[in-house]
Amino acid sequence: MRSRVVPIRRVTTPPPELSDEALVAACRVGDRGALAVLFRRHHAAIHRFCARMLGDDPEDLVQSAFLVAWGDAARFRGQASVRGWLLGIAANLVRREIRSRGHERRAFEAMRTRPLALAPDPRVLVEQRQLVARLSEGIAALPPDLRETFILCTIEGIPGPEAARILDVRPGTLWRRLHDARKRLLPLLDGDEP
Amino acid sequence: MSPSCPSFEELSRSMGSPRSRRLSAHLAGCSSCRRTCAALAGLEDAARRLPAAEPDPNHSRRMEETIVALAPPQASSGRGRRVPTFLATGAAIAAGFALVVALLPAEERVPLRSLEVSEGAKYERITRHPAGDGGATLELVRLERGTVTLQVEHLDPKERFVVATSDAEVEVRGTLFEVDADGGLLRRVSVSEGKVEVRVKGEAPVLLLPGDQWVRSDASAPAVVDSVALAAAEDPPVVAAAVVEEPRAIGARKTRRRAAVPVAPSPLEPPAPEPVDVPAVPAPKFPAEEAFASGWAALRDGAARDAAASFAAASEAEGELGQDAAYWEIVALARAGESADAESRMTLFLERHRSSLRAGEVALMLGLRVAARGDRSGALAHLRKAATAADPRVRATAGEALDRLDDPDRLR
Repeated sequence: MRSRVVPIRRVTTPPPELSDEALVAACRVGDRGALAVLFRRHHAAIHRFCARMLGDDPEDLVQSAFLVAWGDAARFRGQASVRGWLLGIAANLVRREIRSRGHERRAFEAMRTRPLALAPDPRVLVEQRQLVARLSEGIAALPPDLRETFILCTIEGIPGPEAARILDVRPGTLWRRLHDARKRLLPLLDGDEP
Repeated sequence: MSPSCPSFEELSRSMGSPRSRRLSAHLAGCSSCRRTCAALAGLEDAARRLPAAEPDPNHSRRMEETIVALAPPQASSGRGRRVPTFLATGAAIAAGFALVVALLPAEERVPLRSLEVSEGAKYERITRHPAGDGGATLELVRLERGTVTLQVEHLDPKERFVVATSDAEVEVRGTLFEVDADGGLLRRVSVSEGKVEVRVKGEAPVLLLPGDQWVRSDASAPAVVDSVALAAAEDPPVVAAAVVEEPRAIGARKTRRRAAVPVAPSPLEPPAPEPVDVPAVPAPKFPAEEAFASGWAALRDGAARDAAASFAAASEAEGELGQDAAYWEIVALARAGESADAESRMTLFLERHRSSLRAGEVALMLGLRVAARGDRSGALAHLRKAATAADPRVRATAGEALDRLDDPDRLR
């Protein structure tokens, strides 16, 4: 029997001080430890984004986003931040999810049971709580393209040009969507219902 | 707003970036535009302060472990997609740096000292990281075909090393041994040093000591060699080890091979060199894990029906894996548009996994579905269960739904 000796490669968790870009490069060559560190660094942001977009527990989407990132690590070109790149992957999955949910999503909306994630803090003033509730509902009621733009640019603080690349739209389209979203949400600050 | 005022779009675009001198001058003299800018700033501020649905730390740890386990092997660099040279170079440098840095601390060790594979062998090596401080690191070699010879250092109590085929697991306790598989099925295990435990689906676990060999018979059932198997069948508590002709030696050690069968020394054989301590071993779990992984792969590819079938197979497993698989089967069925099936699986889930962490979530989904089709009393039962779930978000959503259904129990 001819045989060959396979070099033993240590598969371990890289130290946390490695840059995001180095971790993605390590993922590209199959380092699962790097994937674990990337997950620890960014899963909360991806979770928040998906939860705000979909309004329910996005656990499966978050998991899918990191597995897609693992598979697409070779495509990462460093034009956006790694966080932005991951948010872009999550945005694509969310779009697909919104398209595929169909009647199930409509049934949920009919029940108006989208979780608002309101903190039941008695110290919070009633007006602020009402504003938070109105704004949460207003964001949830935005069309998906406006919603993802508003969440990425305003809440997650991704700069416009990077957000345009992430969402694969022209900068002009991104700005138009952001303006539209702001126009629709501004009246909520004055007490209008969404 | 006067005709000379900038458009809403211009004001909106100026948020969060330096304003032009012209715009600043205009704002200084236009209260209307200042109000618009203040409102936009207020909107940004309020939006950033919106409470976020933070992930549950326990779920996150479990998810991290799952992701690391499910991540498929990366394509080799020579056959992958074309990437720019500078990126490939940069990635290689970064990866090399990552590996060098990872190698610097000496406290982490690699239990696998050497791995020798036969020509044409098909295998995959996976390292599973612990889910938490108390988790056990699992080194896994999945063998599809061919022979692998492994030398493993003595394992710490928190380290496990397993060679798995589709039908069996070979668990190591610090040893030099050889495993042979064909068509995904375990064919033979030979031990030169240390101890190895062989767990074949549907069979009692077998502990192999130095010089022992487990061989699949030509008959359909995996078994030990001929007369030994017959003896074991006639008198199960007795043991095990008949001398058979050695197929070939492993490494430098030349020895006669014995075929081992379950437990306890034979009265005809001298006592084993080490106390044979076979712990209570769980049933082989890797086929279920493979089904689970297939389900995930199918779900990722959008093949929801295939995913549901795979998760259904994995849901037969015991413990959390079975529970998780049953849950994801529900999700896959829902995505496939199989609402009736999804609903029946939800009911089954609540019957079988009443104490599962996911039971509240499933009760909520089921309650909402039942409510959506107008069955108020049916929905109440499920939503009340969901309202007692451990997850605060599930409780909150169930509470809202109950409020909308005017649950009289909640008004008391």
